[in-house]
Amino acid sequence: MNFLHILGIFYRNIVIIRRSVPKLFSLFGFITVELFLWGFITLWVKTVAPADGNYDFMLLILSAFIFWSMFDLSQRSFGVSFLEEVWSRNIINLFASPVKLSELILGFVLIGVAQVLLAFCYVTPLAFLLYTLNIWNLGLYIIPFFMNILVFGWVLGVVTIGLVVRLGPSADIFAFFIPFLLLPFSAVYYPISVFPPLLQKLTFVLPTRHMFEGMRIAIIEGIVPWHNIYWASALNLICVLLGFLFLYWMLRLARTKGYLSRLVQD
Amino acid sequence: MPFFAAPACRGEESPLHFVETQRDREPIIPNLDKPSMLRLLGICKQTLYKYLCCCYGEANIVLLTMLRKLQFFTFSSISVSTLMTTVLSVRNLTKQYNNLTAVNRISFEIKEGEIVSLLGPNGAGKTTTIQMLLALVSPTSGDIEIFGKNLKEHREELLSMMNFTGPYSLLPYNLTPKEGLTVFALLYGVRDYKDRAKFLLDEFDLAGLANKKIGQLSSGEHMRLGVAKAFVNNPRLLLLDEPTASLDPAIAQELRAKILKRVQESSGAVLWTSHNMREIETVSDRIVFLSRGQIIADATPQTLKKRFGQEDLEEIFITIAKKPTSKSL
Repeated sequence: MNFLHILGIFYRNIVIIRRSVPKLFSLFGFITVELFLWGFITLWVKTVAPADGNYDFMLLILSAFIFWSMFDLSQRSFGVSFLEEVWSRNIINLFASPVKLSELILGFVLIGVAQVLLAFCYVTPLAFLLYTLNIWNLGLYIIPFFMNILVFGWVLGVVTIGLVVRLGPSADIFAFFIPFLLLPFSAVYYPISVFPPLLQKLTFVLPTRHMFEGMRIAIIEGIVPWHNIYWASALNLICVLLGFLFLYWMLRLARTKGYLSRLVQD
Repeated sequence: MPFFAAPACRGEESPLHFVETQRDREPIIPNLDKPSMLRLLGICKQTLYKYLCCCYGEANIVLLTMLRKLQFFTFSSISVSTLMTTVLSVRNLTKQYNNLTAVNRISFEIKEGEIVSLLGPNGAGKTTTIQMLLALVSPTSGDIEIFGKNLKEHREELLSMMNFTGPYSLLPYNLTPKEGLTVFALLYGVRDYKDRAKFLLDEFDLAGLANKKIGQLSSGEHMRLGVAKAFVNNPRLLLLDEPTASLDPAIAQELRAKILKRVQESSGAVLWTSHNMREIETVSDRIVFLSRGQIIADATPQTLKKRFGQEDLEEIFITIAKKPTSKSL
């Protein structure tokens, strides 16, 4: 593992994020707009919900929104970092350099961590300012949930890279589409009990379902949902292995079939 | 010695197949049976070449070209040649895409200090060959060895000793040349990456454009930057795919001079492709002609001209490009 290679990947991405207004907007702008949207919805839900309800809707919905945004951002930052090389037709230079796949992934992980931390440090005080929401009320066990969310986002980022390598630059839509596809089945804003029985069984394989269900249990019942933490972590581990195998397979196929050069021709 | 020799790897006779042997290319120096004497001669020649390149640079390019043409600097006495390290060795390299054979059992070598040109018409398999040498495309069969190590097994190690520039790989448009070179210096593991980027900006007259976005550079400036990037790690094997395409003759000549100077300084080996026959004649120690995926000639420019009875390399190119080479293709 060469630290300079990882620094190269990190530096390249940080430079363009730092001075690109659209990229800064995608980091801070969307989340601000959505915070307003979900904040107003929650305020309205609070007014129509039964007065004797035990639910802290503000904490339930807005913390779910913040964590989903972090998941979305970790996946997107990963996919977009790779796509940036494809869009700027630099991908051949990258693959012809001595950078190992593990170094490339680690560079993207660092970029993802930096972006997620920046967004998190921005949105949590904003949520407190606008709705007096203190996300740290969840306790320190938000850390394993947070870690699982980040890791699953990166796994989907790895899958996105594999799909772009296989299908060409036109597959860039996956970088933005995959989290959206998982959103309804991850029980982010509602409990899994609202799913039909079959869907409840099918969605068991999604780490996101266990993460968000666990967080809801923690908020409502005030207990540490170890069961959900274990399942989320175990499924995440399997997904990491499968994601890397998928990317490795796609790259091998790309080298055999000549797909890499197609990435700069499409 | 027959006028035309069929390449050994194909075992198939064709009037256009000509692969020069060591004996064709390298005059035997008689009465010098002490290898140390020959080695000394080779070292003297190389030192003189480097001295001329480094001390007088571009101003001396005419003299260097003349001396190359006189084969003074081919470093070709048998003993010197055999003592020189084989940088690149390609053996029976084949790439097949379904029914299309893009590269068909090609074999060639590049020794230290050699500039070998890979020529051929469009679709001959030049870019596929270069992409296989860069590990971007896996060969269907055959071996690539760089400094005696298999590319497949030592990919990262060997790529750190190589570099390339080609029309299919642009540099990131949203970075400045300074940032771009810094990034590539890091990606190639150069420890003093900031100094290296600065040095290359100065060396390739890009200092004035250091903070302009790459996307705003002219094609000539972009090409110069691409070549500068190719030298970011002081490569010992350089692959230059049409490095002066789309440049006006004056800028192309200037860039060529810079490339030659840097190559001689680093004692590197170069595989060069171009459609500019004058350029090829100026820079090449040897030319490998590729047509429809096969090597059909491998010799010095002078020998090729002599053998084909043509004064102009372009005429030889046209002759070769128009002829079919194999029934299988």
